[in-house]
Amino acid sequence: MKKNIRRSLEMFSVLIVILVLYGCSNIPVVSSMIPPDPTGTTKPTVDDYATDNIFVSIDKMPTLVPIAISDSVNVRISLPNVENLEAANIRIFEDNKEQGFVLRKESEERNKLDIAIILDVTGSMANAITGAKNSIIAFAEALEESGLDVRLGVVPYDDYVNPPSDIDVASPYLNLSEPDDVETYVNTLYAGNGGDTPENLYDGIMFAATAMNWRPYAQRSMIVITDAPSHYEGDGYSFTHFTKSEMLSELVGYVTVHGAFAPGYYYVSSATDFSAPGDPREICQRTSGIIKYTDSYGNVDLTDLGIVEYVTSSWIAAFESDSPEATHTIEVFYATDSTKRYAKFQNVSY
Amino acid sequence: MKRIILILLVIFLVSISFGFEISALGGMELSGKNRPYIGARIGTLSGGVSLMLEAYYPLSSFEDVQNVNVDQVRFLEIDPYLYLGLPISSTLIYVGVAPIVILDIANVDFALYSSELFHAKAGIRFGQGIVFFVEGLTTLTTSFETLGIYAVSAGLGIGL
Repeated sequence: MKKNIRRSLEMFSVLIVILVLYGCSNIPVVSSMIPPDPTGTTKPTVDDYATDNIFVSIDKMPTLVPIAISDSVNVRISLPNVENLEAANIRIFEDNKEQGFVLRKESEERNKLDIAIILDVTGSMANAITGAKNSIIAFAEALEESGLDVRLGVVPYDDYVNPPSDIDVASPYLNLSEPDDVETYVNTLYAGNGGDTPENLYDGIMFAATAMNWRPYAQRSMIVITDAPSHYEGDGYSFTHFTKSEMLSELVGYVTVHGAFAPGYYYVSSATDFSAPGDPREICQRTSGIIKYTDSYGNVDLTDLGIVEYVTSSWIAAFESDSPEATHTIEVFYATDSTKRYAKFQNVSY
Repeated sequence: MKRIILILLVIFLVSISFGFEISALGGMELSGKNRPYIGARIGTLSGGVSLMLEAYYPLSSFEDVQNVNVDQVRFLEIDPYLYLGLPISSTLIYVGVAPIVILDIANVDFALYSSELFHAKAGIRFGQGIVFFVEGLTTLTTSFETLGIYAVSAGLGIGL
């Protein structure tokens, strides 16, 4: 009798512990078994696939690989305007070898979305500030309609960050907040002066990356809005602190940087080479963010940048790496009866 | 925090009611990532059915054992094991299974690593008072297929 009571109590304890622990977390975990890699397959011909409207990045959200379990690589695949994605429509190659993978929709796994807006507040950006003021609530509502719990923050900058030097604002930046608070804050901003052509966007991005209260396991994005290139460390100005390569090692895999660039004296929408040290579009490209151009007046509508579609059409594909290479090339093929898209992500470290 | 207090309370009550073991352990994966690991366990391991709460922290190398900075440990693997033990004199032969749980220490957050995977182990414990044990573990699917990655552990502790 005593033994039976003891066993019942112990079983009850186990059940309590398991029930308390189960299903109450945002920690990235494996939702399903990763199938074995396909064998005897060949890679599709890349020329048959379009390379736009597909964004691929590696998700490095920190977690722990338990004992006696192999590690998985998490690839984020964003296919704007694709509502339902089946694993059968995707093929993933790591270093030319096709991978077995499991696919899960990111917004169903991580419904928290934190977005920092890095806003150039020099004189020529008046229209962008007005546009941000007018569209911030609609932008947040569009994201929340998808079931996302959205926080927005704002970092205004010119040659300086926190505070910008050319305008006088009571709060030098707004930490991640409810959308209504963001609208109130953006209404206090105005455009002023500017000085030389470049501004200190890189410091603004890194300030947001380090100073914002990013929520654990939230999807993390930034939107940079500017018409100017960025100052960078080594360009001869004392207020610059970062080079692009330093920033990329901190950002890639952890945050997606989208950009809205006002064309004019620096940005040309037909450009494809973003390697200049002060060109932030390479950061967008390497973090798999969207690169969009405003009209020539810098008018910005946040709902029109494609970010809502990007976020709501993101999936995580997890596969087990068996490549001995130090850095990897990931290729993703998306094919349906009517659409074929392809993305290649090179020099990837896990 | 409430979850942690509840779990600790359950463990404490079970432990003082039915027996007690607290041990430190170290081990090594024999394939997969081939990581060494350290850990600790506390619970009621004894003959018959018993429960142990076990914590594991994988390292990148054995040299890292000396360099573990507790303040920088962000995640732990916490496995609530259900054991079946067979006592033979002062020796206990046991097998156990546990779901794999990840603890985010900084954010006090738990997650079941997978609903399709669990750990299974077999071991032998020697002694009473001061106990010594060796055991082997692997990861099984819910279809009882192993992932093919094994690990061995050894540990020392106090057992009643």
